[in-house]
Amino acid sequence: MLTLRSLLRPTRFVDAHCDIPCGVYDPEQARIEAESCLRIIEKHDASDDALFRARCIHVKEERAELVKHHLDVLWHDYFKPEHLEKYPDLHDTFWKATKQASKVKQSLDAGAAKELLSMIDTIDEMWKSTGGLEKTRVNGRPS
Amino acid sequence: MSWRGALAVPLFAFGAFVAARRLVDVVEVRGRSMYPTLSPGDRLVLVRRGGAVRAGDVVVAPDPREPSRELVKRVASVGPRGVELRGDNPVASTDGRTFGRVPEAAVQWRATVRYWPVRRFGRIPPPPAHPELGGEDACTVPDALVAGDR
Repeated sequence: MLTLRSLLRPTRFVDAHCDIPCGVYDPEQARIEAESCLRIIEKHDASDDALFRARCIHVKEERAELVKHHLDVLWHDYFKPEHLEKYPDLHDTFWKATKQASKVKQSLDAGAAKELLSMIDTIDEMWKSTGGLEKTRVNGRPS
Repeated sequence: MSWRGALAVPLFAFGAFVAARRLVDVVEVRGRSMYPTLSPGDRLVLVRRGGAVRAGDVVVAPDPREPSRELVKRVASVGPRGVELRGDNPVASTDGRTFGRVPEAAVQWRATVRYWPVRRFGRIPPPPAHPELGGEDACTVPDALVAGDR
């Protein structure tokens, strides 16, 4: 029925929109989190303290999730269709790397974490060869 | 009243409702680019444009970069090349500075009245005098304000 309530219910959203693309996209962000995963796995394996080991697992899962997030941002926001022409396997590379990050999240396998690092390095090469370094790093921060 | 008559009444009401929605509509604001004039969660009455688009109006128009999304912005100027839309909160607004002018025909709705939250009921205010100064950090709408409105 037509009630006052139904008349006042918004039919849709209107966006007071703001996107501020800062233009800083850097695989290093994902790499640091992935390095963190590897080191945490090593510390986990070296410890006998059940509580510490539990904390390691918790923190490693957080870090692995951040790897996925940072890779997703690079994938969605940095890479453009013209980069895909240059690297036809770009989507596949990202898909596999984010899957690998999931694997690192689920397991305590140091080998999986190392594999993730090398996948991020592959992405890093694509990023560098498409000018990501020059576009991103401020005042010649060392690479 | 015949059963036909009984059926006609709600049908007519429904038809009138649908027709009215083409002239008047209600929407909710999302995002902070119109702060302090509009805050996220504000609900507005829109009226279908009859005459010309005027500078200073708060209007709703599709985002030229992504037409499925509708933007709420203020008309900065109207010229032969189209309408320049700007947010009242320029540091937190993506607007004509990024996507250029939009055709006047794209501007179909004008925001007239805010009806929610009730304590800020009324006509949509004019732009802030010095939007670039913005009071506090204009990027951040105070949380208390947003929470209070919800």
